Amino acid sequence: MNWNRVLLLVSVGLGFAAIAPARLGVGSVIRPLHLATVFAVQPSETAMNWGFRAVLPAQRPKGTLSEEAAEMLKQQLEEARREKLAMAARVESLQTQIEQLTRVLQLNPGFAVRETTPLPVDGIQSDASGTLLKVRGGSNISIPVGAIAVAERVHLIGKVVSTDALNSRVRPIVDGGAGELTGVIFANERFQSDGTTKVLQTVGDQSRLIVKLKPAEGGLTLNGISSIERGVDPSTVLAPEEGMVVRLMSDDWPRSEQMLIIGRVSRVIDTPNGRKVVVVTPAIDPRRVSEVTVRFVDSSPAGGASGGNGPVGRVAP
Amino acid sequence: MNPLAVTLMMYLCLALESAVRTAVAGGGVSPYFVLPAVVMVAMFAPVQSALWTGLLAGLATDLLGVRMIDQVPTVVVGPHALGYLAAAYFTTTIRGMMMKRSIFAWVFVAICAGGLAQCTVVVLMTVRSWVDGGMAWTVWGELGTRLFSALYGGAVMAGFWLCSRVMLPIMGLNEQATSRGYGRMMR
Repeated sequence: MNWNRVLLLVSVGLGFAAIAPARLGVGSVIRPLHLATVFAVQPSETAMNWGFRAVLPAQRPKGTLSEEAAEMLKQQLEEARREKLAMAARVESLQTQIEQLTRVLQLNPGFAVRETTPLPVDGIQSDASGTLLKVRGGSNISIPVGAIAVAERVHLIGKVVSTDALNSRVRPIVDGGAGELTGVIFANERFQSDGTTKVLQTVGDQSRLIVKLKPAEGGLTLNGISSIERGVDPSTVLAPEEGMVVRLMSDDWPRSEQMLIIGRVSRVIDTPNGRKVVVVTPAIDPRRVSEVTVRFVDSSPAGGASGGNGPVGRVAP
Repeated sequence: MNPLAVTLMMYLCLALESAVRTAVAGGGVSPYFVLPAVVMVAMFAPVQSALWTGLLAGLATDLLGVRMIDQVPTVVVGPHALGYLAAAYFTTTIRGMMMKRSIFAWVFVAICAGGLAQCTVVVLMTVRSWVDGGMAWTVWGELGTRLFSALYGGAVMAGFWLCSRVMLPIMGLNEQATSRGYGRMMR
C-alpha cells in the first residue's frame, strides 16, 4: 500500500473539512470522533489538573478580583449604604423640622429663637410634686429657671424648674405637678397617619378650638374640655377629632413659645352638656425623650429684654 | 520507532496541554506540548512515520477543540492536522543540517516549526471564517497569540531535550532512523 498516496488523500480531505462551511454537515460526522477523543483524554487531564492545582496558585480569570479585594469592596459598599441611609434619615428629619418651624413662625411671628443645642436627658428624678427630667446643661450654659424644653424644635416637653452648675431639671407637661395648659386645635392640621411626628396642613378651613388641659393620672396624657371663645357662635365651633394637632396658646407661658405642639388628640369623649372632652397625648413621650433643646429669653444686655436670637450652649449651629 | 510509546507520549502531551494551558498562561499566550513532541519525533523518526505522527497529533488537537459558529459549538478538523503535518515535513527536511545534540538546535527547530504550523492554522481558519460568516475570528490577534505560544513551546522543547536521553530510547527514536529515512521523500 502506498502510504504516501494515502497521506496525500487524507490531507486533501482534511483541507476540505477545514474550510467547508458548517451547513454542509461535516460537523455531524466528526462529532462522534470528538466525543471519543474527549472521553479518552479527560481522565489524564483531570489528574493533571489536580496536580497543578496543588502546586500552582489558583489563577483568576482576567478582569476578576481576588477574594480579599472583593471582600474589602463589599465592606466599603455596605458602609456606604449605611451612611447613605443615615444621611437620608437626617435630611428627612431636618426637612420636617424646617417645615414645622416655618408653620410655628406663621402662627407666632414673635417666635424668636434663643435656644441651646440639643442637650442629653440623663434620666428621671422624683421630687415632692412629681417627676422631673434631668438635662445635661445648667447655669454653665446660662439656662435660667423658667426656660422651656422642646424636642425636635417644636414639640413641647416641659419647663425648667431648677438648675445647678451642670444640670437642669425639667417638669414635663404631662406630670401632675405641671399645672394647667391652654391649647388650640386648628381644623386644617393633622398628624401624619403613620404615627410619626410630622404635621400635615391642609388648605381651607381655618377654624379653631380652644381646650383647657390638665395632666391626667398616670402621667401619660392631658385631658381637657373644649371651650367656646367669646363672640363665637356655638354651632360653628370646630368638632375635635382624633389625630388633630394641639398647640400651646397659654398666657402664662412665654410669648415666644406660643404655638409649640403639645400633642395629638388621641380620644374625644362626648359629655351630656354638649362639650367635648379631649384626651391629648404628646407626640413625643416626655419620659422617653433622649435629648431636648432648651429655649429662653435672653436677659443679658446684649440680647435685650425681648430675647435675643441665636443659639447658646456647646455648639453653635 | 515504537508506535505504542509515541502514541502514549502524544496522549500525555495532549492531556498536559489541556490541563496546563490555563495554569501557566499569561495574557492569552500558552505553551504547546503536542507540537514540540511532534517536532521531536520528526527529528528522529522515519519520514513517513513522522508525517503521519504530525497529522494524527494535529487531528487529535482539532478533535479536542470546539468553536462557536453561529452560536453552535462546532468541531473544526483540519487546521491543526495540516499545520502539524507541515511542521513535521519542515523538521524532516532540515534535520539533516541540525546538530541534534545541541539544545539550541532543538529549541530553534521547535520555534520555527511551531511558527509554520500556526501560520498554516491561521490561514485555514481565516478562509473558514470567510466561508462561515458566523465564526468569530481575528486574524492578527490570533496570529500574534499563536506565534508567541510557539515561542513558549521552545521552552517546552528545552525540557524535552533535557529528558531526551530517557525518552528517545523508550520511543525507539535514534540517529540511525534518520539516516535510513532521509532521502525517501526525495524520490
